[in-house]
Amino acid sequence: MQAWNDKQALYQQLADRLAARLLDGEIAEGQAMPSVRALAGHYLLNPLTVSRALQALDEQGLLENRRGLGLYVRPGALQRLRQAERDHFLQHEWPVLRARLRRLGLGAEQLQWENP
Amino acid sequence: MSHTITDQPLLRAQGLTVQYGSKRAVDNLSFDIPKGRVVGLLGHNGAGKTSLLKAIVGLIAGQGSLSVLGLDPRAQRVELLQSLAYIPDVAILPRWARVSELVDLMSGLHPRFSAERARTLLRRTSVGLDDKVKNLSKGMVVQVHLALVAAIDARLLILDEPTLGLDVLSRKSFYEMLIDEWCDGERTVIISTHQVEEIEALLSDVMMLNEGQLVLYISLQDLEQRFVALGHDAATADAIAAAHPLLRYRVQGGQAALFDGKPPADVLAMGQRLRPSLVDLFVALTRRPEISRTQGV
Amino acid sequence: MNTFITLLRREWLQHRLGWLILLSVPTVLTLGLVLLGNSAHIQLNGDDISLADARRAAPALQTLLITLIVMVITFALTVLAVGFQLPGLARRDVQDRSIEFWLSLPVGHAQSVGATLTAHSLLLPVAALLAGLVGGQLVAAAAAIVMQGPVAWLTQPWPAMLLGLAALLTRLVLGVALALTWLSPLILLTMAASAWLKRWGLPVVMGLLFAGVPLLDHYLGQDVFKTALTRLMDESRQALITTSPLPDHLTLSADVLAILMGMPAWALRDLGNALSHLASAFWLLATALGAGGFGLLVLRRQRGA
Repeated sequence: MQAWNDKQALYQQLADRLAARLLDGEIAEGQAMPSVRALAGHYLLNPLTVSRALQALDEQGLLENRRGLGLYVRPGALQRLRQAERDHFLQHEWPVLRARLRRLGLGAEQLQWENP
Repeated sequence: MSHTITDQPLLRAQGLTVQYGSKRAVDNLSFDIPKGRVVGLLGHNGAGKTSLLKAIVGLIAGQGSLSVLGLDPRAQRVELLQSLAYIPDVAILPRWARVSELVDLMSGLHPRFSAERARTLLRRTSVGLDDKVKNLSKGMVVQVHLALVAAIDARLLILDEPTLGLDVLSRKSFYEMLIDEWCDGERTVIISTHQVEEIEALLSDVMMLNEGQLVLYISLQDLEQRFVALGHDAATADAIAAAHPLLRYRVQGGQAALFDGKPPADVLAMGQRLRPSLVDLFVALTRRPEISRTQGV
Repeated sequence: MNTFITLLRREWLQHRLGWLILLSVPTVLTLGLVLLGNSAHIQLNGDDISLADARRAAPALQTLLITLIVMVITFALTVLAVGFQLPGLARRDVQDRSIEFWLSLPVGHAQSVGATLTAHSLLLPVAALLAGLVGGQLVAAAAAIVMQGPVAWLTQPWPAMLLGLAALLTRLVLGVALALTWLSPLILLTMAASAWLKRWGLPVVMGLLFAGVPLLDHYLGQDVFKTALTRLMDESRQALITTSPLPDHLTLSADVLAILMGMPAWALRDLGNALSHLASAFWLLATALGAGGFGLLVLRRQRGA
C-alpha cells in the first residue's frame, strides 16, 4: 500500500503517474479519463486528492471537460506531454547527466549511441 | 426547528470538555467538521480520542456544546443513531449470534440498514452467513462488523481503530470499501487510528489531540501549504537547526527538518522541499515519539 | 413496534435452545413415568393413590390430572430457572462488551430493558403454561391410549375439556401478569442491584432480605418489613391463583364433567378476586418501587452499562 514517496505532494505524484499512463498510451486521446471514484478506489487516495491531480493535468492542457460527460484526454495531449517531458529533461536532467559524463570522461563512442 | 443541512457543519463542538473526576479527558475543544470529509483523529493512548468519540455518539456527557448532525447526542441519542454509525475499538459483536441473525436483527432495529447491501458486502469477505461469531477470528469479526456498518445509510461514520487485528489484505479491502461506500462528498468519516502512514493517503483532514487538547485541526491541503519539510545533508545541519525547526529527523538519504511556516529564504535554499508526513508532524507537535515510523529511520 | 418485536426476537434467538429444553423436559419425563412407571404414587388432597389405581379412574379425570401435573411442573421449573437467570440478565451483555454493539443501535434504553424483561419474566412463563398444557394433553393421550385404548381417549367430553382448560389457561396467564406487578419490586430492585453493584448485587440483596430485614424490625420493635415481605409473597401467589379449581376432596369417582363445566365460572370469580386485591395502597407502593427499579436499570444502561 505504501506507493507514495515523500518528495512531492500526493496529488502531484498521482498527476505524474497519470501523465505516464497517457504517454504509455494506456489512455488514448479522445478517450474518457477514469472517474474520480474509480481512480480513488484504485490508488487508495481520497477523492479530493484525485480531483486535485486531475485539475493539475487540466491546467497543463492535457484534459478537456465535456459537459455532462466528464473529463476526456484532449487531442494533442500526447504531443504536449512528450514536449513537456523533453523540455524538462533537457533543462533539468540532461545538464546534470552531461556534467557527470564529462567528469567520467565518457564520450559518444563509449556510450555506444549507435547500437540499440 | 428545521435542520438545514446545506450550510451547517455536520459536527460542531464549542468548548467541549469531558471530565472523569478531576481529570479532563477532553479539554475545551472547539471545531467544525463539514460533510464530505475523511478526518483522521490522531493521538497517543489517553490523549482523549476515545472520550471525544464517545461524546460524539452520546455515550458520555460533556460540558460545553456539541452538535452532531444538528442534534444533541445525549438528549436525542436514538434519533442521532439513525443517521450515525459507529464501531468502538474492540470487536464486540454478540458471540452467540450467527452472522445471518445479526443481519436480521439489524434490519429490524435500524431503519436505514439494508440487509441486501450487508449480504453483498459480506460475500466479499471470507465469512459465511451461517458462521457463529464465537467461531470467528478477531480479524473476521472486525470484517463482519465493518460490512454491517457499511450497509447502514448513515451520514456520519465513526471508526475507533477499525483496522486493529486485520491483516494487510483485509486492511486494503477495508480502505477500498471506505472509498467506494463513504466518499461520495455527502458523508463524513472520522477515523481514529495509530496506523497513520497507511491511512494518510485516504484522509482529507487531520485532527491531533494531545492530553485532551486540540493541537491541530487542518485539511491536508492546507497542511502542505503551512508546514515545510526540508531535506538537507549533514553539512547544513547546524545552519538549519539555528532556524528552530519543530523537529529534526532522518529520511532516506539524509536528514530533514520540519518547520511551521516558511523558514527564511536562505534556509530554504540549503535543502530541498519534501512532503511533510503526518507521522513526523504528529511527533513534532506532541513531542512523544511513540508512534513507530516505518520509513527512513 | 417493529423494534420491540425485533428485541423480543433477539431474546428468542439467543436463548431458544435453553428455553425449548426447559419447556419440553417435564413433558418428556412425565411421559416416561406414565408409560414405564407402575409403582409411582400420587398425593391427591391427602389421599394416597397409586398410579395403578389412577388407571382405573375415568379417562377424563386422568387427562385432567395429568395435564394439571405437567402444567404445574413445567411452570414451576420455568419460574425457578427464570428466577436464577434474572439477576444475571441485568449484566448479560456487559461481560463480553457486546453491550457496546447494542448501544450503537438507535434503540431507546427503556425499550431495550423492557423487551428483555417482557421476554423472560412474562412471555417465557406464559409459554411454559401453554407448553405444559399441550404437553400434558400429549402425555394424557398416550396414557389413555396405552391403558384404556384409543376409543376411551376419543370419547372424552372434549368440548367441556377444552373449554375448561382454556378457562384455566386464561386465568393463569392473566395471573402471571398480575403476579409480576406484585413481584416487580423484588425482581427489578434485585436486577438493579446486580446491574449497579455487579457481583455484589445478589449478595447485598440476600443480606438485606435475610439479615437486614430482621435487624430493622428488631430496631423498630415491630415486624414491619417481615410482614410486608410475607404479604408480598402471599399477594403474588394469590394473583396467580386464589382458590383451587378442583373440589376439596377429590376422589377417583369425582364428577369430572361438573368440574370442567365449572371452570369458566371459577376462572372469572378467581380473577375478580385477584383484581380486587390491586385496589390497595400496598399494590401502589409495590408497583412504585418496581418502577423505581426499572428506572435504575434504564439509568445504568444510559451510563454505558
